[in-house]
Amino acid sequence: MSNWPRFFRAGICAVYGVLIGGLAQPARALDGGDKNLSANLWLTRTWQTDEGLPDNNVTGVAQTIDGHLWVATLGGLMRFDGERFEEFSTTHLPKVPNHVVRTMYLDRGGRLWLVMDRGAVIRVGETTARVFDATNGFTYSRVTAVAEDNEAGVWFVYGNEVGRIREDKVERFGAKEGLPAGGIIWLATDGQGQLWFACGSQVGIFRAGRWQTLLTLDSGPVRLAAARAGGMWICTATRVLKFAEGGELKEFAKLPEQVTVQVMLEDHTGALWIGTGADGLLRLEGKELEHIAVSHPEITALTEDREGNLWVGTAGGGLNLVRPRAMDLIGTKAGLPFESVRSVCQDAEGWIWAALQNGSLARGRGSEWKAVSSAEGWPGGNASCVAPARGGGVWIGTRGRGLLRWQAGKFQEWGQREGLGSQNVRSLLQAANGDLWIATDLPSRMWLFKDGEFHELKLPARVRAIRALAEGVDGTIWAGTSDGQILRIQGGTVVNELAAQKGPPFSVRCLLTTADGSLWIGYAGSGIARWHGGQYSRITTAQGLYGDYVSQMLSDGQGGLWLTGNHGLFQVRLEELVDVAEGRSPHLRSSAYGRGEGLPSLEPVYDNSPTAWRGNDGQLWFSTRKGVLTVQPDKIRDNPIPPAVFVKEVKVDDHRVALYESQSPLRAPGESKLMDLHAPGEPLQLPPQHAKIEFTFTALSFNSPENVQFRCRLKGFDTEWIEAGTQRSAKYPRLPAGRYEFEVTACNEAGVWNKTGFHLPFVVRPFFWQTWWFGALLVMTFTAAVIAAVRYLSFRRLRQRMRLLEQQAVLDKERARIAKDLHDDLGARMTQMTLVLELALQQRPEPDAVIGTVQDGLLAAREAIKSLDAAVWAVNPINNTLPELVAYIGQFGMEFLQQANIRCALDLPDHPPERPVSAELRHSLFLIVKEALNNVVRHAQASEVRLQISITATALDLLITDNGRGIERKPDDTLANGLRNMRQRADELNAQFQIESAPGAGTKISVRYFWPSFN
Amino acid sequence: MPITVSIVEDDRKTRESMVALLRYASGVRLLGAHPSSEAALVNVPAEQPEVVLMDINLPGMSGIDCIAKLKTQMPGLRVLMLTTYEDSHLIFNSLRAGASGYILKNKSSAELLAAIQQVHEGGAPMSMRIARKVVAFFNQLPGPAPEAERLSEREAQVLAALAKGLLYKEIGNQLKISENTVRTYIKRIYEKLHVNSRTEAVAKFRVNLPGED
Repeated sequence: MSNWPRFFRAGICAVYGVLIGGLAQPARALDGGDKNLSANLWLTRTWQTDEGLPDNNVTGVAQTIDGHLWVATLGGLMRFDGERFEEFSTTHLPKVPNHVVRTMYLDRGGRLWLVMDRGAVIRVGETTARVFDATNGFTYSRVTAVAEDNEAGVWFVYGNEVGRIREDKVERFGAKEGLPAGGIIWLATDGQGQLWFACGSQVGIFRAGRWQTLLTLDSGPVRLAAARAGGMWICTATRVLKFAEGGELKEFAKLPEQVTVQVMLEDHTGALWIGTGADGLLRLEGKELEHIAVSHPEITALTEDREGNLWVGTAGGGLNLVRPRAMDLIGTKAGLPFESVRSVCQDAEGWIWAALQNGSLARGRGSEWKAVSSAEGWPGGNASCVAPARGGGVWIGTRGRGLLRWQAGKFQEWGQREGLGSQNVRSLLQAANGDLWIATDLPSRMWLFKDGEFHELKLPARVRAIRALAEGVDGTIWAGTSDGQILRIQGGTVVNELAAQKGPPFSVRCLLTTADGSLWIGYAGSGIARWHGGQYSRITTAQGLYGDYVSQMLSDGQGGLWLTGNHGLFQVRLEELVDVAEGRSPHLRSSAYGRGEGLPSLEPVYDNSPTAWRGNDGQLWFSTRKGVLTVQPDKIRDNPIPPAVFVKEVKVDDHRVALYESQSPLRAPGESKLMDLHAPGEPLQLPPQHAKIEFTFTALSFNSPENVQFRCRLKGFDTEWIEAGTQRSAKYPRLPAGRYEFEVTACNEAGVWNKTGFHLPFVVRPFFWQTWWFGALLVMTFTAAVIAAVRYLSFRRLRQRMRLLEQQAVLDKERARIAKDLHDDLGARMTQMTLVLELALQQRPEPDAVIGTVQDGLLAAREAIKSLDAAVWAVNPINNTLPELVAYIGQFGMEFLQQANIRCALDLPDHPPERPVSAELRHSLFLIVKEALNNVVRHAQASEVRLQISITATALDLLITDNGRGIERKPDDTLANGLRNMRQRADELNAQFQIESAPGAGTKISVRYFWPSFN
Repeated sequence: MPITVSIVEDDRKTRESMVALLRYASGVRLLGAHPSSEAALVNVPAEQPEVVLMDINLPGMSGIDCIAKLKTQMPGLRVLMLTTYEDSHLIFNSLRAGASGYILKNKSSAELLAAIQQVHEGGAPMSMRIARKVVAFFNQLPGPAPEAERLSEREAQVLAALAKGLLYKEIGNQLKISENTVRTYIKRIYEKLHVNSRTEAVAKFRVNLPGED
């Protein structure tokens, strides 16, 4: 035990050196240089100033309820979404001297407490922040610990004093309440919300206003952390203990000498993480204490996020994320004699064998490897591929030495002398029935080694190179070639299976068979293909495959296919592949692994077979140019938590117009003016004059932010969901005025989608609506003028023509044409105008005065159409009948009076004779009725009007009677005008016209028109 | 359940305005908008709307012929004619062809939605002018028609009252029935008008067939 601390520190330094040397990208593997560090079991990702952190001194880490990770640093406060750090401001708050955050605490109510430089404490609420400083009685300049009680009090330790903030009150608690004197003080809150303290070597609870000591330990200082099972974890200078009130003090481990504990945290598995002051991160599981490599030896903060990742803040090394390592790259450091690997497999005893690019052969278990040397009987030569031998040992294909078999420490050799056609073996496969299939460098033959004899098989065509061999569930042997042939070997014959497929052959890199009888083909640059039941379907990046170069494929036996290609390792779900292949789904999801898992960029190899192997224990092995890649699929944690998703900001032509949580009190003054996307009161209004609109969104999942995928849709623009992949923004061109809703949702790396997503309704205001309604009114006025002119002219022309033209048919034709012109052209335009104005009203233009104006415009347009209707009716010869005239006048009167709220009694002949009536009669009679009713509405103050038409063989009688106030002796001008007009029209018709009226006794207007033949 | 609607209207601006008005209207779901009868005959049967808004004046095949064709394929389809003017001839012909109502294009969107609702429920209000035409139509029908095609006494009374310019409420009071019942009668009148128009067409067709008897 005495050596422990020394190598411990040595280990830290070694790791530290690696980190400092090459911590550039977010994810960086800590290659396990020192085997006593558990670097291979734990993966650490680091974020430092290069990745957007303002300062590598992290002083606090906390995940708020909404899922964001808050990171306090000496360079300011940041919020992290897994991809980007976003700075939040504190210096705009009064009494905050700078943006240095000394300590951060998240209380159980979800509020952040920021202990700022030089003493001020900020309590951050949803929309307001409260600053406590000396003026509130909070005079502490150096806070060392923060905790809370279950009465909403937050406690601060500074030097040898303790203070509490509850609501807005600051109080001090110390010796007066029984706090032991003269020790280093620490506070922690247990699972029940009780406030525990340590002072020197004493541990106790603050209860009923008193510091009550429960334990006195052998050494101080003491650090405390809540234990999940109840009570406290206790670290003294030498030991890790656990204690619950009323229980025993239990020891779990001894600490290495001179380690000072800074922070502790028990994770969801019950393991205790211990951050030290100068000795890095320790982890206690059961009674085992292990050291976990992180980027800096001084740990300042620990927190666990909801997905189970551990976050570690360091004083100089930035922020770390620690989680179990699911994949690793075995290179020369682990004993591999050469980095680049050609072929890999596992034998029956569990040894992993690898043929290396330099021709040597290596064997290993776990992460301990070594070359197979001549001392072990290795005859030398150039190993090209390895395959497990049934009955034990391993087959080794070579260049130059034919086929070798290693078994129980001995090598056996076969070559051309024994009947193998070539000394150069490229690929090997031993089938379930014991047949060993051998592909050599010969272009037209393959070999079957069975019962000690080689059998030659002729290939249907010359091939360039057999790169891949696979056995189907039914015992079919498949071979894939670099010139795109898929050969099926069954019962001693070889068939070129896909010869009938159209299109150029794609170069095959690998083959895989699955239990459903499918053959999967990995291509160079053309994705993968499925050959199943005579159906060939190809899947590429267009359907969501991560890369089109597929060099190796393995099934993990749990529904996942693991593929490697030019872009590295990725996983797809077999069922999604099948769905796409069979046309049930247009899209599949690929999860890429690489830097997020601490791996360098991978270059998988592909010329021999096998290049990848699934071990008996489910572990996957891949040959790459950087070593043997191992993947433990069962260590890839299932992540059932759908990521919270929201739109972070909206930009119009690169100007930010809305921001998520712009109303947070920690937003800089400029930002708080923007609309808040978190709780928008009104839908966002966007200006019409824009060239593009950009939505930036994010989703909070820290397991693998690189594999968080998005889909979005702009309702009113997109008809379908757009698969945005890992892209976190969406741009749209200029949108026409209208209402829209932007929707976005996301899934985590395990494909769990957020079902609700984020919805952002917004409105694009109409373009220059002020001028357009004005324009509409102008157009309307103009059109009305045109109508008036046309009416006037057409009637004049009509009359003239009537005099000139004698034939009724020609006349009618001309009238019909005019009617049609008026009807089709002007009418349609006026109708358009009413619709446009109606739309304008629907879009709620502002200010209200405009609504009135538009409504007036609408009314005027409708009136114009009515007049036009009447004009058209009068001119159209199709209406030249008496029933039509009677019906038209009747309906007009009814509607007109109804609008004026005057009762209308109609007395019309039920079946007027079908006799023709001239346009003049119809027009004049209609205008008389209109004028008469107008007079009633304007002057008579009548409540009822009787409109009577009676038809005899000699005449038509029109009678309009009202019960109004009658006509006074001196009618006013308008009335007089109206009466004169009516009389004039009647005169023109040669009709009798009569007005009977007495003041207070109503008015009776009668018109008698004699049919022409009797006139 | 919103009423599913398709529009047939040749004037692009009018069509687009109506689409914009209906797109966000509650109670209505717009399925499609088509510029011609020909396009409507292809698309409307696929869209299967409950109500078609049909411009009365279409280039090429008229809206009236289009309704007649659509109704043979989709007998349950309700048609609301869109018209610029109260052109009683065209309106009456479209009612005969199977439309269940009409509305002036310049009416407000609220009135349009109300009309869609009414057409969906059976029939839109019948104006006095149209009623008078309907009366005349039934009067000129030759000979005794089958029971199902003739107007019942009550239907005839309602129609006559409409032709006299009475409001629904007044008709209800006069005949001692509710306004809703008045609407039901009007709906039946529309149906019988349509049925009769069809039989009339068939009858004409028969007469024109040479030497069939």
